[in-house]
Amino acid sequence: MPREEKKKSAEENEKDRSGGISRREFTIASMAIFGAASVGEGKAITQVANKKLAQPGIASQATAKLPLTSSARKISLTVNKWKYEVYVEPEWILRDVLRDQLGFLSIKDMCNGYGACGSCTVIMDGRPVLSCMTFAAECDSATIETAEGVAVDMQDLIEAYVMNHCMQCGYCTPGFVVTAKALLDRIPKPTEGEIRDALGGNICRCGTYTQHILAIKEVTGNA
Amino acid sequence: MYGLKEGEPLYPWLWPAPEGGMIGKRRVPRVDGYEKASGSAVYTRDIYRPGMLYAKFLRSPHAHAKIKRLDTSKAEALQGVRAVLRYDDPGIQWPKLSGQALVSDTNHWYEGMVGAVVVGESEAIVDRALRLIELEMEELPVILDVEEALKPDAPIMRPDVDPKSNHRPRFGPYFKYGDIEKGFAEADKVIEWKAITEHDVWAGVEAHVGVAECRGDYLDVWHHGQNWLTMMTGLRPYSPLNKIHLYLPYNGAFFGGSSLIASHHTAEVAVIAARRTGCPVKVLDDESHFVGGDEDARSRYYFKVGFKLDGRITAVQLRCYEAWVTETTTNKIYKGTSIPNIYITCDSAAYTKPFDQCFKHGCSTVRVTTQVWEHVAGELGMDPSKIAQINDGVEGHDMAYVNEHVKKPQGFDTARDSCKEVNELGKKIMEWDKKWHLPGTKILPNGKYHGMGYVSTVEWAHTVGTGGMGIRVNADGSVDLLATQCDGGWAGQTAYSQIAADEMGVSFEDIRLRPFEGRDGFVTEPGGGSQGLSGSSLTTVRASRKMKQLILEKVTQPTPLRRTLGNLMPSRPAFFPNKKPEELDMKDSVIFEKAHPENKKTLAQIAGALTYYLFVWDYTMAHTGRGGVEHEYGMVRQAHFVEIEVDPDTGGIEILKQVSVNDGGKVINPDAFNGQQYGGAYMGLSRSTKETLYFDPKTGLALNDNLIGYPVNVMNDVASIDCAIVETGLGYAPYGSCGVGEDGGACNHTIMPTAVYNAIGKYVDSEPVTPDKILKALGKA
Ligand code: FES
Ligand code: FES
Repeated sequence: MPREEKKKSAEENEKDRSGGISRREFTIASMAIFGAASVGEGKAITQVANKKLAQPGIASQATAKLPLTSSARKISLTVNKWKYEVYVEPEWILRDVLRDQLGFLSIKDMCNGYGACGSCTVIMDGRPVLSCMTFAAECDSATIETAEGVAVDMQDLIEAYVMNHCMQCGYCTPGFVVTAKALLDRIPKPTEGEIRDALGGNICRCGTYTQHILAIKEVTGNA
Repeated sequence: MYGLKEGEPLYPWLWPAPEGGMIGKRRVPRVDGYEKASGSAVYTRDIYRPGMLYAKFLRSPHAHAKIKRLDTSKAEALQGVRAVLRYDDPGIQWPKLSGQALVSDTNHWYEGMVGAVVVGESEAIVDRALRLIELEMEELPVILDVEEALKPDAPIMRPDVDPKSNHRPRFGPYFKYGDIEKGFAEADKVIEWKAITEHDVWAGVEAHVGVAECRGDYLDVWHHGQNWLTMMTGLRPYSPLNKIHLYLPYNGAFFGGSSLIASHHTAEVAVIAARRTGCPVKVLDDESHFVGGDEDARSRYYFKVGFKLDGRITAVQLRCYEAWVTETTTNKIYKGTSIPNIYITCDSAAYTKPFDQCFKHGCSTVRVTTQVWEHVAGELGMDPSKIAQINDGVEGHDMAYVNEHVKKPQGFDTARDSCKEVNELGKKIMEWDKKWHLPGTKILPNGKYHGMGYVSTVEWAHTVGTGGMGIRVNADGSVDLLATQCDGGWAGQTAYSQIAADEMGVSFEDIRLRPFEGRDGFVTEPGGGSQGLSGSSLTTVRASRKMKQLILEKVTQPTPLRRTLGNLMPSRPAFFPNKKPEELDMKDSVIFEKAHPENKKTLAQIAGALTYYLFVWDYTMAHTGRGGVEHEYGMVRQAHFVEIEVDPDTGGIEILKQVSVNDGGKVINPDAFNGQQYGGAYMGLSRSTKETLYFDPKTGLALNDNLIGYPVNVMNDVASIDCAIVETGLGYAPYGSCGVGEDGGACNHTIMPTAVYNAIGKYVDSEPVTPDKILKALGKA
């Protein structure tokens, strides 16, 4: 079930810490300026249109009907080449919608949604983005790729990851895989410096960093 | 002994590893690799049950306070809230472990402590309900320093535990060996100094979570943790243990335990909430990365060391607070040196510090040897690696004694000298002899100080453990290793599969470690990871050998006429008639006659023709498994080296190169072994240079308890890491192997003071070694 309040509590936390305007307030203010969304209580509408097309092999975790407010809007997403339509509230976070509603469990959360770890990375319209820092409402018509999709699309990358022990506990690994795929889409034969720059924002507490460089070089023949 | 090959010695460390197979091979595909890379690996946070509720904690907003009023009525009234479990609920007995608790059972609250648990239909509802709870508290004094808490006039922090004193002993009796006064009397020189560590935390990966579901009389629990046994024991109050199913999915790294209190109690709270609501409950403790502190967080060490002018150390006296340096935590200065006189006292106090965590455990005790080598070498103007070599030994004895009285009778190779070998190899890779210099004597053309750091100590996962494993051959010839999983990322599944493949003669691809509940006897990795492979490889070898023997026996016997599911099954002639098991062998899942290899059958053919599974199990106690040897000595060593530059203007450290050399005895999976080396180096260097929580001295609250404020190493923080392996066969596990797991993380945690001393010629024995401390030592701040 989406966590419509999670962002609020995280923002309040952040506000407590910073003593100033929270990131969410700032973003919502910007959204209002650009007319992207307005926040307000309204008559509840029920039901979420979830998957238009169920994807085989991925379990949906959307088990309950969600009471939505009138500010909810329908967005369509293409995730790993499958099309979905889903109602979202303005403050819902992309990570929660993809993971909790659509069942893409490869999307993780190591930093409690602070935008610090990269484990929630997805490729959106060709660019790696932190799904914990992205409002779902802003993603209408977006094309998204998660690690589940990379595993189908770029099998040699996954194989190189397995052979080079790019994972220990593995919790950060899907985030690295997705970031690496985005890099290879952009630069088919990256240099070591480009690999380091691209993956420099992902945290691996197990310290597998050295291996990602080897795996990516192996898959591009740059070894 | 069952499983012993003919002519083989009783001691498993003397068994030769099968040649030409998977053991010791590089580029073996990790068996958990595809799942983890593709995102299909299931962690406890990925468990969802139909009708599942969510629970979260109301934590103490103060570092130390007393509750005056807790009003949960508005939260309880919120639609979608199913229960609010309060600390003072008379119907609940909140769990405790070693006197510590996650949920308070008094009105005294501490930072990190939980006072109420809200259970609701969604995370959003729970978050909203938490904000509706009204809480009035009276703030109480905060003491952030263990030594402050021990002063006679300090306010009593836990009157409920002891109304007179804050003092707490730390893990049992003080450690005494030899005659400390005699040791000082024999010394040419005696030096004293103090070292401190600040507050590093797990800053973990998958935050704590527990899921519980009651099914009639039965209880299912999913636990994010590594230690099946202690978790199961903790569940005793909730159900007869034979009605509990305890699952340990993959772990977003724990590194050995994180906080046992927090992780175990999170699962237990899930059970309490599931019982109360009648629904499955997932408890999410999102803040748990930063609650608590490492085993050595906020420790103080007072050293007094006596030594001869040739570098031989005669006495080590250590008074420490908070650090875990007792014998129970494998006191490395005792286990791995010839120092004859040692006296260590460890104390703690009740003060404002939440639970102990423990991750890449062992840094407290490694720090003792690191500090001693550094200071004795510093006083004598010597290379610290030479001090380590001079004082190498085991439990107060030098290596000549060990060769004669330990290695020889136990069959180890007396020609191997682990300390010498790891040092020589590491120094060669680092070009140590060319680069090392006297402290504070090398300034580079760029104006920076150049420094070389060094740590060496005993490998502590060198022992054999008690454990069990079952093996089943399925009807298609595939093989299940039935073992408990406590995956923390060190590729134990892969290594067990490699051993089983080679010992059985089954293809590696056909083997799968099937995580199995330990209640059925197959408690593999019972220690929760620290000594996983070395501890449990013995039972893996024995179970594999039993299975091979069973297969070779079965194929030489006819199958009699029998009734299965009411059908009369015809008798079947033996697959290898008139042959004896010893005339056959199995390799790559093919059984063949040794004298006529063309006479062969695949394991799949045989398993498919049987109407039953082939199954064996093994349970081996450590002391019987190691052939009656009572005591295992630490003869395997490791050494870590680092090269840095220190900017004299900013105090900044740049890590140029790191080298880790570990003696694995006999390495099963070199890639996974290396993984623990470079992984440990990344984490250890991070803890040594930057990781600490900062606390507001007035309120006692942590100021940087999130991954934005708390710095951890990322890809570009270490320029180069070289990992090398030595294999002396001096471990006690089969083939002479020993584990490596947490060593690199613990050792490199203690390395930076040595490198900085070598760079600037001044001691900065305070970890992490941050720029401000360096500037202060240089007289610039
Ligand atoms: S969850 Fe950490 S960056 Fe998104
Ligand atoms: S593999 Fe564990 S955090 Fe990266």
